This record gives sequence, C-alpha cells and structure tokens, in this order.
Amino acid sequence: MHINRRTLLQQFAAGAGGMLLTPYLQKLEAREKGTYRTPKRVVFVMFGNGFPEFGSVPKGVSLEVQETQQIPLDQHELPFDIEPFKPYKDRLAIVHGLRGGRVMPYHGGGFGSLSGLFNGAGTERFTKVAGESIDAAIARKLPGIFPILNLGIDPGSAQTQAHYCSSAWGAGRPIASQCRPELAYQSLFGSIGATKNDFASRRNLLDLMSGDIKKLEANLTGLEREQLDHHLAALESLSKRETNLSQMHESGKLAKSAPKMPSPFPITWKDTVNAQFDIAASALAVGLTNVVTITSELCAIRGKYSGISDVTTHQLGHDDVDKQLDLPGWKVLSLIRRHMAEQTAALLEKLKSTPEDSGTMLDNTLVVFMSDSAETQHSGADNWPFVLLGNLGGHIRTNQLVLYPMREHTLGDRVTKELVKGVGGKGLSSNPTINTLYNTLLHAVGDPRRHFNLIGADKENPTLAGPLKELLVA
Amino acid sequence: MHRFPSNSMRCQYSRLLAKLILAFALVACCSQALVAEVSPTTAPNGNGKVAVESPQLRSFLDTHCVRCHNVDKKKGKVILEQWPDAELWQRVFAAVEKGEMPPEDAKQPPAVERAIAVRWMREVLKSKGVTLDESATVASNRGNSVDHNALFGAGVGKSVASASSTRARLWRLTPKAYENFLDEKIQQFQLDLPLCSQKPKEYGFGMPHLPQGQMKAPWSFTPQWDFSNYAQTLRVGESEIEVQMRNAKAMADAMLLQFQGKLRGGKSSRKTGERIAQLDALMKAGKQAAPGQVKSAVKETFGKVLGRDPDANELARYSTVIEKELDANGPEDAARQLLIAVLCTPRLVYRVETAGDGRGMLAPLDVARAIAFTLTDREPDAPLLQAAKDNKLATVEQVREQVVRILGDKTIEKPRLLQFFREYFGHYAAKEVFKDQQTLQRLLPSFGGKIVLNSDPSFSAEFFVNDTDQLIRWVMAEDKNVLRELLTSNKIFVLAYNPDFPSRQTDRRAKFVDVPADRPMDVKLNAYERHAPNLYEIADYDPKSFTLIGWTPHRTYEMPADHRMGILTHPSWLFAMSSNTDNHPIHRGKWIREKLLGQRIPDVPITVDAKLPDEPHNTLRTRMQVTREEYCWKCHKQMDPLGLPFEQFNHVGVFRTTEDVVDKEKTNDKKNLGKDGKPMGTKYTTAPLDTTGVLDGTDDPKLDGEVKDPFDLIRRLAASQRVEQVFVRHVFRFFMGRNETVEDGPVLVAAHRAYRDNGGSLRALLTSLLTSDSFLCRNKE
Repeated sequence: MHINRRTLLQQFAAGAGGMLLTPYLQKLEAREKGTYRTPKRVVFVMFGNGFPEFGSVPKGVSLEVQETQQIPLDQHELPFDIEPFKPYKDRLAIVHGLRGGRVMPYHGGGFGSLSGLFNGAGTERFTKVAGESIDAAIARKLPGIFPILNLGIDPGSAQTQAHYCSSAWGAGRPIASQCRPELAYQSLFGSIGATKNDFASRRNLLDLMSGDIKKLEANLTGLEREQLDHHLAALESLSKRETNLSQMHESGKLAKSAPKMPSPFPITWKDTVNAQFDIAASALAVGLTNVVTITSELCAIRGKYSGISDVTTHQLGHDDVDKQLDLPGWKVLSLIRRHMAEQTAALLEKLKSTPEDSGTMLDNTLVVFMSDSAETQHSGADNWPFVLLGNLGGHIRTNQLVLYPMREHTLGDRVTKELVKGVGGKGLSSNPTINTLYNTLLHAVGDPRRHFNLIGADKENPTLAGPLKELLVA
Repeated sequence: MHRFPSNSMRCQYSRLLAKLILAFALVACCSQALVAEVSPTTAPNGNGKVAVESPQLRSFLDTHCVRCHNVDKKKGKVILEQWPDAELWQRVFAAVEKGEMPPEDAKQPPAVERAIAVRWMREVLKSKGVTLDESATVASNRGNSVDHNALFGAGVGKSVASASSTRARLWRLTPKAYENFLDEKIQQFQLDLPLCSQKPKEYGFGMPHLPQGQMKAPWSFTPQWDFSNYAQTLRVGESEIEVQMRNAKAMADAMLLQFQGKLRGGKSSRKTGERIAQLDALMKAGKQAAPGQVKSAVKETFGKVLGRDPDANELARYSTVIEKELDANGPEDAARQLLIAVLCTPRLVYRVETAGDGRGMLAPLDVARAIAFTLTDREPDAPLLQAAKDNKLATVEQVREQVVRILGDKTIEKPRLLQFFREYFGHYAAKEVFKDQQTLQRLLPSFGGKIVLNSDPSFSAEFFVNDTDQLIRWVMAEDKNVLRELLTSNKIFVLAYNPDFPSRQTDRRAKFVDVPADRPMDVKLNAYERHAPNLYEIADYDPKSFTLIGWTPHRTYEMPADHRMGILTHPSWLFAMSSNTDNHPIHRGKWIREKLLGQRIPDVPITVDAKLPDEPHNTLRTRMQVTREEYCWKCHKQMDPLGLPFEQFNHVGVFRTTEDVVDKEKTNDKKNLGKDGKPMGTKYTTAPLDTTGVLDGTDDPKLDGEVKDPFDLIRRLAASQRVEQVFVRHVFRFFMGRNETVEDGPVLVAAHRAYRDNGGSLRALLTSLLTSDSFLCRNKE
C-alpha cells in the first residue's frame, strides 16, 4: 500500500494547525489588507498531586449545593494557594463539581487529563495516547509558528530533555514536552549572543537531512515507507519553522523580545518552573505561539519539588511531614501551588504590559490553571477543580465561582480530631465532565463542536453535550 | 484439529474458537499475496479514491448488516440502508474489524470477505479524511492473532504457497546502540565530553548526578505490556530530530575545540585524537577555499566519522550546503556545519535492511549488522566484519558459525537476551508500582525502624527486579530447560549485582569497603536487606552476609519449595502485576493467557467504566464478582480464573495462608471512635484464603481443568508443550522485531525442535531463528 507523501504532509499540516502558515507575515499582510483579527491565546498551567477544595474555594462558601450556583467573587477572599490571583479577580472564574468522567486521575491522569478520554487501566494511562488533547485542538484553531509550545518540568531531574505526557494531535500522536529551559530557549530564540542567523543554517541542515532520508525511501514500501514519510514531514515542518524564524531574526523582532537566558542553567524544580514561565511569556509576547502548556510534574507523580521541599512529591501527597520545613505534606503542597500561581500571575502581568490593539495582550488570553489529578493525589475524579484567568476577548464569563451540584465531605485523615483541611465536594454523577469544559474552550476560540471526545453512552447525555452555559458568553 | 471441552463451557468455548479462527483468517488475509489469490479484482488497490459508494461494500452491508440495521428495526439506533457518514463509518469499521459485528449469534461473513470489507472501509475512511493508525495492525499486541495451530499444527507449511521472509524494512536504533556510536566517536577523536556510558558519580538527595554535558539518545523505549522495539511501529518526529541535532552540535563543538587543542573550560588539551586534515585545510583557506577543497573535506569527514566514502549525490549535496555556509558565516561555521551534518546521519536513527528488487538474502554487511544488533545491540565486532568482507556470510552454514561463536563467547556482552526476558515477564515494571507507607507498614512484617522511605516511595522494588534478572542470567548461562527453569526454580539470588548502579556503589562493594549508612541509596539497600530474607523466606541465610562488607555477586538461596516456584512467584513479578493497593488478578491472568497460552484478550472496550466495589471487608475474590456480569465475563473469564490462584501472596509478594480484610465491627466499635465520631484507625481481621482457579479453553487437553493453587497452575503450564511453543513464538517476535505470520510456521517449528532436541537450549533456539529465512531474507513487497 503506498501513500502519497504529499497527501500525508497536507494531513499533518492540517493536523498541526497549519504549521506551514506564517502568522507573523500574514499579520503584516492582513493589516495592510484590513483583514486583521486580534489573535487569541490559551495557556494551560498544570500541576500534580491535585487541586484541593481548600486551595481553590473562597473561605466560607459551602459546597453542599443542590442546584448549579454562580457566586460573584467580589465579596470573597481568595484562599492562600491562589492568593496571587487577587489583582485579577475580575478576570477569574473558579469551577467546582466537574467530574473526570472516563479519566482516572489517580496519581496523575496522564494523557487523559487534557483529552478527557479513557486511555487504559493502570500505568498505561501515562503512555497510551487515546486521542486529541484540548490544547492541541485549540492549537489547530489558533495556529502559530510553533503550533503549540509544550514546556515540562521533570521534578528534581535536570537530565530529562523531553517527555511525552500531556498532549497529542490524535491517537498515537503525542506531542513532546520540552523539559529543559535552555534547550527550549535555543529552539525558540536561537543561540545566545549570536549575531549571525542560526536559523538559516539550521534550515539548510534540515534540508540536507531530508535529502538523506529521501534516499532511503527508494528501497522501501508500505508501512516502512510511511515511517520515513513521517520523518520527512517532521523535517520539512521544522525547516519551514526555521525559515519563518529566520525572517523574524532578520527583521530584528526576535532579539527585541527574547528573555534573558537562564544562567546558570536551572536545576531545581523551582528554578526550572520559573525559567519555563519566562520562556512561555516571551514566546507569547513575540507571537511565536498562541498555545502553551506547562506541566510541572509531567502529568504523573515523580521526583521532588527541589528548591522548595526535599520530600518526594508522592510522600507529600500522602501528607508526610517535611521535617526541614516543619510542615505537613498538604501544607507543602499549598506552597507548591502558590508558587505555580505566582508564576502564572507574573506571566499575566507581562501580557498585561504588552499593548495589543486598543488594549493589552491579556485581554485576548485565557489561562487554565488546573491539576492533572483532579482534587487530590488519589482522586476518584468526583470533583475536578479549575481556575480560569482571562476572558479571551470577552468570550468567557468571569468574576464568578461556579458550583455544580455537590455533596460535601470532610477532608483529611480520619485520625485527626479536628477539621484541619476543611471540606471537599463530590459532584453528582449527572454533572458535566471535564470534556464539557474543554468543549466550552473550543466554542470560545471559534471551533464550536457538539462535544469534545465524548463517546458511546456519554454522547447521549444531554448535559454533557454543547458548552457550559455558565461559562460561555454566547 | 480442535478439541472441545466436555463441560458446560462448550458453547462459549466454541465461540471463542470461532473468533480465534476468524482472527487467524484476518491476519492471513492481510498478506497482499494471499488476498490477491482469493479475490484479485475485488480488493481495493490502496489508491484512496473511493469517495463514491463501492458496490462491494454496499453488498457486504446489505448481506450482513441491514437485516437489523434498517429503517424499521433501527437496532442500536443505527441504519445502514443509506451510505453512512464518516462518523458512522468509523463505528462500523471498528465493530466489523474487531469481529463484534455481526453479533455472535448471527451468521458470520466468511473471513476473507470480512477482511476485504474491512480494507474497503479503510479506504472509505481515508477518502473522507479520517486518519487511521495503520501501524496498529502490525503492533506487538496483535502477535497472538495468528492461530497457534496454523503455526504448529499438522501440515504446517503445505497450505502456504510463499516461503517465509521479512519485508525490506527499517529498525530504529536502540538508545544504547545510538550512545555506543557517540562513545566510539568521543574516543576516536579524544573529545572533551563525558562518555554516554559513564555512570553517575555520586548520589545527592537520592538522585544521581550525571556528568556535565553528557549526551543522551533522542528516544527511549518505554516499558510497556508488549515488546517495545518493533521495526515497523516506531516513528521519528520533530522532538527526536531536535535532540539529534543538539547532540550533533555538541559533538561538532567538541571536535572543533579539540582540533584547536583546547578543553571546554578554555585550558589546553593534552590529548591527541584523530584529526581530519582536509577540514583543517578548509578552515585555513577560509572564504577563499576552492570548491575542490570543500569536496575533499566532505570526503574525509565522511570517511573518518562514518567509515565510508560519500556517494556522488551526497558529495554534491553536502558540498553545496557547506559552500553556502562558508560564504555566509565563515570557515569555522562551515566546518561545524559539515560535522553536524555528517553526525546527523540516518545511520544513527535507522538500520536499514533491504534486498534490492524482489526476494533475496541480505547483503553480507547487512547480515553482519543484523546479527550484531540483534544479539549485542552494537555494530559488528572485528571477526564478524571480516567475515562480511571475505564474503563468508553468504550461506546458512557461514552465518551459523558466527551466531554460534557470539552466543558461546562469554566475554561478548549480549544485553538483548536479558532485555527479552525483562520485556517478556514484565517483572521490571515493579519499579513503576507505588505502594504507600501505611500499606507497606501493614503488609511487611518487619517494616518500621530506621527506614527512610522518603527517598524511595516505590519501596526498593528495583532490588527485587535485580534478583530476578540474576536468576535469568544464571539460567541463560546453564542453558538447560530454560523456560521450565524460569517457571519452576525456587532458587533466588539475593542482592544481585546490577551493572546499572552508579559506580560508587559497585566499586565499594567490589572492594568490600564499608558504606556509611547516611546516603539515601544505602538506606534503600538497608531496607531491602532487611526485607528480602523475610519475603524470600530464606531459612538458612546468614544475617552477617547481609552486610555490605560480606557482599559477593552470586549469593544463591533456596526458597521453600511449597511457597515459591519460579518467576511468577517472585516478589518482583507479583509487585509488577499488582495495583497500588491490591493484587491484580486480571493482569496476572492476562499475562498467562497471552504470554504462555498464546491467546489474545480483546482490547478493553472504550465503554468500560468498571470499578471494584468499595467493600474493604470483603476479600478481593469476592469484590471481583462484579466481573461476572455477562458483558464483562466474556473477556474476564479468560483472565480472572488464571490470576486468582496468585491470591496465595499479598500484593507486596509475601506468602500468606489467610487474607486480611477490614473488620467493620471493630473499626466502628465505640472504643475506636474519636471525638468526631469517626474511627481513629482501621482494624483488620482475617478471611479464609481461596487459591483455586480454572485452566480452560487452552486447546491442550493436558492443561485444561480445575487448578488448586498457583503451584499446581505453574507446574502444569511448565510441563506443556504448547506453552513451550508459545514461548518460541515470543522469542521469534522479539528478535525478528515483528509478529509471526502463517508463512513463518516452518521456521517456528524448526526453532522449537532445536530447543527441544538440545535440552531446552536458548542458544540452540536462537541459532535456529537467526539462520532462518525469516531472519536472513528480505522481500520488497
């Protein structure tokens, strides 16, 4: 069976959000022609070990609700974990009571966290790629030179260069997370201090490599040829990207917006997180990409939050005490989430200070701040909390806490005599799932679908189809 | 050809058989040649142009589907009288391909007809812009699709016209092979870069400190249920290419630095590595370099780095790019670009096996590389290369000579052999299974004391994996009844040597130097050393020998024969086949059904949303009753009864005679309630243990029947010829890098005979496989 490589390439191009386009140049052209439209941006910030209710629900709000509620945030105080979002309260939407549905987020939901698909039992969920993830789906709609920028942090392990963990263009087509800031930096902004145009040299090199692979193709047929076609498509798409970057380099645009290269290279979890956020902010500001996904633990439980705690992430999730910090695990995890929130707020600040059209970049951006494992480490996915920041050009309803029907339950160890961690919520089985929230995001970026990755019986459930009307500005 | 069991399972069993035969037929039909014979005009030609209704497919729907899926009956709300849309086609395709439709009780389409219909559906879907993962059909989890009797039954080889051979193909290099190449170059040019093979020097906070600037292969084969390195299923994408380019750049930088006699820090280097004279000349000449000079540089760089001359096409393409770079950025960048380009060679990504046009034996050098990579995971050694040069790899006898030499030479490392057993048994996944502290405290008798688990949440499972690995090494060295020994031996190696450990550990051990106990790695070791004797129940162990001082690499003990029997009772395997909080009878049963009995369990239906009931007061066996619902049981009956005998052990691998369950009464007793009215701790009681199971539908009369306990189960499996043959199938798959087809039947029969005739020798088995047509011949189509 022979597949025309051109057809395949076209499929890839469509798949990767039209990576062959040149948004920057198109923008210039569009401005001239008067067809310019403000770009939208979506950023996913993900962390492990769960996003518990006490870290995300304003104090004093009861989670025992029979009917869906929308509570304005003005009068409420944000909890410690997300306090850094205080300046953006009017652009904030907190959502509770969504279910994981088919996703099993126990110890991290793996690829299921962003796809809402069941991708196997046991550890399989970290490796099996069942279908398209929401960040990729959005990237298809909001193309950029880098269709999607996936930045990961392998906690406490500075050796991991790239890892497949969160995102995919489709079944069996995962997208790698770049885990080293200095390497991500190089591919985005070129080598440090270089006056020459690295990108053009790299493009020539890539074309040379394409030539070598094409030579191999002659003796192969069928699947083997497809393997090489896939390789060639990747080479060609990289080559196009380098061409675009080369043009931006010539125009001086890259040099102006590149962040400072982290020096020395970050090693700890904390420093690496900071560096990745810096890179993300600059890439967004310069228009290299419109979709960013940052995973602080690669959608699983691994390593340790070095720089903050030397107890393993897993043990912290089990409430083990960090003796150095003299804090129980759940309080350390609060510090971790707060650090993520601080970095997110800093990113928002940068976008806010970058003018765009009549406002700032922030006006056209949405940050999805979430855990890869619902509300806790060993989650049954009865409540998957989300914090949305920004309204994406007025498409998302903010300044509200949305509560879907839930039953309240006490959090914490049963041995403990007092209510230390407050209460948690269990969404009813009729509640919408994370798929519906993701579909809402697709509606907001202009790709309205009937459902996102719902299958079988789920598709029949009317509450799960369409967007969440509490969040979407119609 | 098949024997039916005489009990009430007959009906279900015959359905299972029907499916197996069907599965076999499907695979058979996927071979282009066979289909062409059956139906040369009706099969789609793969050009993807079937946007309009195809009459063949229409008639398939009319014959087999429309009786229920019509406007009146509308079964499952599906109507197939009209030409379906893309979404419906996807569902039809999935159902027909998996054999779910037509339903079991309906008349089934002949296998060939179904296979062709499925192919048409693929074309329709493609024409509608639906991307299908074609590689899934050759994925390693489809290996058992071929009916066992079609490979080993009577008359094998007669029914199939074409001889066994493998398609011209590509292998992706393993990370190890990739890194071996880089290391060779680092040594050849004496570069100021750490070797990829260099071990981490120290541990800090439980984490190895890798040498600065150490390069890594751009891809890794993550552990998975089935074999991870299949030739056809791997893809290189953008991220791999980027890492590959980064590595090449790091190498090129180091080479230029070395040519200038400098080290990375700016100091001068005292090492003298190989030089590339023409590259020096090019850099000296600068922008004025003549085109001929660039060409000579390209030529010599190819020779020094890749060990061969560029062909005319390469010479022209490379020279053009280098000239461009020379012009734009000067001589040093041009030299760097050339080095990077050559180091980005496809040879570092793929190993290509072709046979020109038509079917033929691989060229001598390709045979040499195939043997070398298959067994040693590196480029051929000197004798093998010499044999290729002297054209002494042209006959089966000549190949056999080399294979026997490598297999027999203890000094040649053969990492792929152990890797096969790791991936086959899957015990090395034990490292991936978390157990929390409370669970460990409850289940391990001597847990507590000074153990610091913070440094290792997965409870030192890696040490138990090493012990199992060591048993495998020992059995391979003995090379007698290999499979039976692995399945039944109660021998255990304690604290086995692991060459992957950081050098500090092994060095100190080898020198019998005491290791201070304040290092996390050593704490883990201590934890292991305290538990291993208890878990293995080694009565005769000497506690003193468990100190690091008394360590020797080969410490064998006999585990009690009535408590342990082979790898399936090793803590490592039990651990790997367990969940965070329980045993995993489903995985254990699936493993036996697939890897020992050679049968295929269907994929988990995407609609399955099953969880065990939250009834901690019941035994796992009782809680698993939920799988007995009709919808679940049709698959679970193939797994659960094979996995449940292993309830003999708890989920950290301790032998037990009763099962601990939650004592609801005591837990909720007033005495146990805190001020908030909730229990302050969980109280446990014991429930009687049931270790029975059922072996059935195995197609081997000696195997079928009730099973008393895991030992009864293992004993019967280990004695079965069928199990041995399935093992041979797996060896074939791993070393050939693909699934077996009906054409491979004679090769498998011969390999099994070689294994048997030589007293269960793995070496004989491998020699037979590596001298077979399947291994040595390639065809283009």
